[in-house]
Order: sequence, then C-alpha cells, then structure tokens
Amino acid sequence: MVLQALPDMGGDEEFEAFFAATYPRVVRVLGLGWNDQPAAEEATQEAFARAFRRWSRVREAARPDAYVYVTAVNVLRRRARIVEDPVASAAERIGERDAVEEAGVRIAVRLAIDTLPPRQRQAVLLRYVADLPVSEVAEVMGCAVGTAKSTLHRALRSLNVELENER
Amino acid sequence: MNEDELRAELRLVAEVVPVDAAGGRLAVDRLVRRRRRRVAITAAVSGIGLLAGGASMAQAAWGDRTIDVVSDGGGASGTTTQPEVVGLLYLLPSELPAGMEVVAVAPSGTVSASVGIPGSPTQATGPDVRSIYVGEPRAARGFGLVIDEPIGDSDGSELSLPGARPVEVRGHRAVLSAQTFGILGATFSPANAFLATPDLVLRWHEGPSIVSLWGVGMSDVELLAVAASLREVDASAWEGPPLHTTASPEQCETDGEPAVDVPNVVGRSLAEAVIVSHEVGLLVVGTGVPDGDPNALESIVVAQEPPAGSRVVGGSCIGFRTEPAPTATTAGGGG
Repeated sequence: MVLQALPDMGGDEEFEAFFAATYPRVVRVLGLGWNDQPAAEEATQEAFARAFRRWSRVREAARPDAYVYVTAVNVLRRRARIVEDPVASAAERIGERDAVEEAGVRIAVRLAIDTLPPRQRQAVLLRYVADLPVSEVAEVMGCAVGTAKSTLHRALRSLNVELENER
Repeated sequence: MNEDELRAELRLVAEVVPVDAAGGRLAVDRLVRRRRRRVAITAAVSGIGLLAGGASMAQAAWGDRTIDVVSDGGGASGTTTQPEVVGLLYLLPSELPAGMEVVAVAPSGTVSASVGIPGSPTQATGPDVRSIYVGEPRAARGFGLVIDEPIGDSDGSELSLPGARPVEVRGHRAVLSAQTFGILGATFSPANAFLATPDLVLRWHEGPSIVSLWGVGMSDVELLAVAASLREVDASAWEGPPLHTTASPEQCETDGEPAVDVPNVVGRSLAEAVIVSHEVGLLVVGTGVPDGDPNALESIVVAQEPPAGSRVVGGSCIGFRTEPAPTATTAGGGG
C-alpha cells in the first residue's frame, strides 16, 4: 500500500504541536488555581477535544490557548467541582510539599499562592504562568478587564506581603 | 518581588506539578471519538445539500434538531432512532476537490422526501460533484467525502476538516481522518459488519476521488488498510439506476437481443451476488431472505436462476436462493 501525504490538508500535526506545548501548562494553571487537579485534567481534556473539533477556527485566534483556558474553566464551573476554600487547599497540599522541596522550588511562593483568595490566585496563575494578557484573563474569569487588573494588583500586593513575612 | 521575578517563581512552582500529557492526549482522543459516534451525516456540497446515510442513518441523521442543508432552498428535519451513527457534513465549495463524487446511500423514498432531492436516484449536481446516488442501503455501495461534526453536546457545526489528511491509496488521492470519515453504504447496524466484508465495498473513480471510511474504533492506519483492501468494481454501476436488492419482475427486460452472460454467483454472499448481477446489467428479483433480516448481506447464494453461463437480455431478472451464512461476520471493529 502506498501511503503518501499530499500537501495542504494538514491539521493533525499542528494540533499535536499545540497540544504538546499547551496541555501541561493548562493543567497546571487550572490545577493550582482551582485546587482540584483531577478536575483540572478532565476539564482541560474536554477543552482540547472541543478545540480539536474547531481547530480550523481556533488555530486562527491570536491566542489559541486562551480558547482552551476559557473552555476549561467553563467546564470546571459547570461541573461545580471548584474548591473555593484556600485554607483547606493548603492543607491538602501538604503532601505535595515534599516534591516541591525536592525540586528546589521555593515553598514560600507556593504557600503564598495558597493564601490568596481563589480569584486572586487564579488571576495570578493565568497572568503569570499561562502568560495570558489581562484581557484574556478577564475573559477566562468572566469579569471586566478592570476587575481583572484590580484583582491582579491586590494579588501581587498580598503575595509580596506574604513573602516578606516568610523572610 | 517584581512581576518578572514573580513570573519566574510561579513557573517554577507550576513546573513541579506532575502532568501526564500522553494520558491526556489519549483522553482527548477518546472524547473526540465518543462525540463523533453521536453525530449524523448530511452533506452540503457546492451549494447542493443531501443526506447521506444508510437506512438507520437516514433516520438518525436528523436527530432531534433541524439540520440546515445548503441546497437550493432545501433543509431537513426529523427524528432520530439510532443515535450512534453518523455525522454532519458541511463543505465549502472551495474545499471540494474537483471531480469528487458524493454518494448518498439511503432509502430513496426517505431521502428524497425528507431532503427534497427529487425522485431521480442519481442527480447531476454541477461541475464539482458528479452525482449523488440514492438507493437502497442494503445493496448499495458508495463512499463520499463525509465530514462529520459533533452536534451532540457541542455548540454546533462549523466549516472545517478536523483531523483530515491527504493520503494516496492505490494510486488514488484520498482524504482520510480516523475520526471524520465514514463508509457509506450497506447497513450501518452495526457499522463494523460493513467493515468486516470490505470486498463488498466500493471503488475509486478515476481522477481525484475521495475515499471515505468510517471506522468505528479504528485507527487511521487500520482505516487505510481497509481502504487498500477494497475491491474496485465497475464504475458504470454508479451511473445507472439505483441498486436494489430486489426489483419488481415488471421492471425486468424480456425483449431484445441476448447479450449478457449470466455470472455464476452460487457460493457468494448475497451482497456480492447483487453487485455482480448489477454490474452485468441484471435485475435481482428474489433473494430468499426475509425483509429486514440484518444479516441478509452475508447470506450465501446456494442457487440462481437463470443459471450461470446463460445468455440473456440486458436488464433481465435474476433470482437467488440463499441460506444464512454459517458464521456471523460481524467484526469487532478493531482498537
């Protein structure tokens, strides 16, 4: 059997590259931001499945990953599996702390993130880990751009205070 | 800590969270496949809309929703009885390869009545689409470009070729997507039964053509293997009348010069016998299988009339006596 690819009908490879580059980060941002790693994985997978089906359109977007974030967060919200209690989440993460330490990453930063209110934590992760522009952060979070900015501002201030206290 | 320092620290924190990307990719694939089993097949090609589907597909295609079909004022709606099949096809004219044939296989009455395709079983559709075949699903063979789009939980259809890729199969251009394309024809209940007897299926037209394989649970490699195994049959069958497993005796020709050698179909499956008979210009008037028998295609012809080697008028009747196939031919459909 001759199996020869012909030009100009691709899509799979591009999607695969997008998936490889984006999936881990989305899972991490959602897992950290929404405090439910399994739910974050499921929501991210659902979001990528939808992205795949709309790939011809998603790929044309300035930030295709923003589509995934928005979709995944919507899935998370719909499934009502979001843990909103930062205190509980911090306690749940104690078991992960060893891994963090082994990796040589500052526990203080992680703990400081955990002290943030959920919306601030999510905004910070979307802005600085997902690297989304503020407008996209606002879209993911379902709020106005101004609200996203002020949320980020408060989050940064709180983080600096927490980190100062750690020192 | 300034923003850049915070960004760097946060990323380090995030990086240590373990992520199973390979498992995630498989999960995404499963989600895509699962959705695609719930969709329906219709076609909208170069401004001409049609329903493509087998008997069950023709009903399932409509779902509980209205499907807009791009046609000359056409549209379609209906109710579903078999949700696991098919898909919604939307094509931009610019996406349609020149010379492509779209083959719609469904009960002619259902399709023509529901979609508004006039009664003619074969329709010319313009320069891009050579013909639309509407015939009895049971004996029909055909493939077309089928782009299914999930319409179950999704937000609707769109114009795209998700996952499609061009390939060359036996010297013919084809477009293949494991999740996207489906074999049209025969009965789709179950679809795997169709794939289990791929020699019943299809041919490629000369020139650019589309091979459309619906592989339930099959990988693209498996699909291509099936495609490569398909037996090419006489293209002229597609230009003629619809393939019916049975015809009315009144339709049979009795006058004229005997010019057709009756083929020997004893020992072959009913589907093969019907195809071979039609290819030489005979009308099948009796198959010996009960109406609605889901295994009819696999029945084995044990006798035929007229006998093999007879010379008859083109369009003459031919009848078969069949027995059930010794073993079920339904396949599992692969991974």
